Amino acid sequence: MKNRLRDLRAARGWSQAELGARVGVSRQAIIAIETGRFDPSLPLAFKLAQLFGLAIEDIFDSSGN
Amino acid sequence: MDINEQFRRNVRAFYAWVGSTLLLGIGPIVAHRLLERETTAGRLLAVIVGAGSMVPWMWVLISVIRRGDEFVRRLHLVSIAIAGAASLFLLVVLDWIQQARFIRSVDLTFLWSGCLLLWFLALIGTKRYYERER
Repeated sequence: MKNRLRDLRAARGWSQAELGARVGVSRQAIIAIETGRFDPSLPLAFKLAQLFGLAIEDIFDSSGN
Repeated sequence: MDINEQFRRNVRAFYAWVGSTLLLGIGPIVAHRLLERETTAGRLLAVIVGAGSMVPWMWVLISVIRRGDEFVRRLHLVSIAIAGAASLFLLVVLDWIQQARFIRSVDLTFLWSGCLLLWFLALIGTKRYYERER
């Protein structure tokens, strides 16, 4: 699933490890989500959305599967 | 979890992994030495040491999966599934080679080493797949 995670993270100047620590996952998990090859679980998607103050659909694009 | 605490946990897990892998390598060497004694007790001890040296490694692997996040679990689930299928294929190929009488019997050490190698390769391949840009 395509997503805007990399852009959102970069806009805040966070590293992948830093973002991972903020939502309680590893750096590898953030890398895999950013490449679009790993879709996060619903709880993790909610955490990411809450962290960036956006709705889930503003971060993840379900049309670009 | 604090990023430093996470780093410390990762370092501890790394050392546990290195220690258990060393044990996995040393165990069979010690077991072979014990087999050379040719006594029942020595042979029994060789079985315990040889097979037992794998237990800490398995324990570390299970604890890594249990403590890991959803991605780590997915990574191991996919790689174990691929390694399982590849190991089954290896068994079938070797069975047919044996039935066709190209070889007499399959060495079990070769078999478990091969399965271990397939597992390792599956893990590396799966990790690379998830890290590669779509």
